[in-house]
Amino acid sequence: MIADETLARRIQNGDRLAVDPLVERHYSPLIGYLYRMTGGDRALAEDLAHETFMRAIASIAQYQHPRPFKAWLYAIATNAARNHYKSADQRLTTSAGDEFPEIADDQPIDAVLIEGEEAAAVIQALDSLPDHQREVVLLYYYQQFSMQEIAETLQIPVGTVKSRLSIGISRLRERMKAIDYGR
Amino acid sequence: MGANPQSPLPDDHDVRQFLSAWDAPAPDPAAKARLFDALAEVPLPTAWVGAPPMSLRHRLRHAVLILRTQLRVVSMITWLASMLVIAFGVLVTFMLRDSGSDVIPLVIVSPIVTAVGVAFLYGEEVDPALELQLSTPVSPQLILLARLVLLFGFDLVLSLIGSVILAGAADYALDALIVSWLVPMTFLSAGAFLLSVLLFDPLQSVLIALMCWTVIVLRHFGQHEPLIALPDLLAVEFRPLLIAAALGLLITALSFAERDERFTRKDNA
Repeated sequence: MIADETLARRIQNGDRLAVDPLVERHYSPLIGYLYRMTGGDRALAEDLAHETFMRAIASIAQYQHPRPFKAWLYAIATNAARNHYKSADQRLTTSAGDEFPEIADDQPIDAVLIEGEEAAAVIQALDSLPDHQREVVLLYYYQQFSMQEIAETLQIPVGTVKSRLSIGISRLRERMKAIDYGR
Repeated sequence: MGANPQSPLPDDHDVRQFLSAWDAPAPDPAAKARLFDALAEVPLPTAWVGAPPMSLRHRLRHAVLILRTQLRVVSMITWLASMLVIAFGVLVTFMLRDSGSDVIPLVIVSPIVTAVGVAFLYGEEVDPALELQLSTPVSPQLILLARLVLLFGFDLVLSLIGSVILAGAADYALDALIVSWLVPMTFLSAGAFLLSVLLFDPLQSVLIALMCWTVIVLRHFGQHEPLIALPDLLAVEFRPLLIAAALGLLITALSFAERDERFTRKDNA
């Protein structure tokens, strides 16, 4: 597989054929990240992903090869999400429950309800975190980013990533304890 | 949500399990298709966006061009003064060749004349207007380094010629003579350069460099016990230290030579 950075370099050189594979491989994970960044707002996540890719490709000249492309892309996505809430003058409110899990035909309805409750608990727990901690937790646990990758994405030292993650985990555990999770 | 292979948090299994309850839905294919359609309309760069890598020949030509431009900036008086003082140092050294004195005038004048010249490389009188500097693609550090190379190189060549003459005419050991002025010249020039960058005042820098040099020379050549317990920096064992210190001073000076900082400081003065 051709590296992201190579594809990005090709786009910088005007190779339009490199755009689709680069976007294709990051589309779903980025939607997932933005979906969780928006507290489960699928339509908003898709809008933000659209904006992110448009910005990334339009300003591809600003990408500095060989810096990791993924970190650069997620930095744009994170900023897009931050700017959305900033411009809308609203903090991420629990749109938890706005979107219930899709029900497969062969799935028992009880199981769906339990899953829905569990997902809502996660959304509420994540929503209770300050933005800077939630970003780190999402990148680490859902996007499988390493500490270094998170540091590059959020432009913060690795030590700060570690401390934010550690505090975020503690807060999540407090929430888990409050809802008697695992008992 | 899979396991993170780089996880330094081995006891976070409960958190992983808790978070895994929230899955993201599969992306909407229609939204994805709309994105690809929109991306097809985004204009891409048509040419290489960065500066092309320079060949060695190109780099050398670039360096010569920078040196040539900076040659015009350094005052003619600086070149003439360097030449006259070093020539004077060679002449006096030659005349004193049989005096039996330990003092070698060339060793005293070469470092200080270079340090004085270097101190005048950076200052209000030398630098062009801010607009002119900002319009050049070359960094201020590189410009200063070019000036330093020019002046230091000029004095180096003059002193080398003088040393060769003295070795031939006055029986001095050439290598020992060269090292004896080259090391302090490097150290003192780097010190004067840093002072001029920090103080942005050539005269103050020259005065401080002169005082330092006087103390160092008196300590080395003085016949009596030193008034202050200073190490003899011109002693052979201090040479590696002086070279290392010169390098440190030069790096510090270049790192401080930011045009923004300088002009801010001027405005605040």
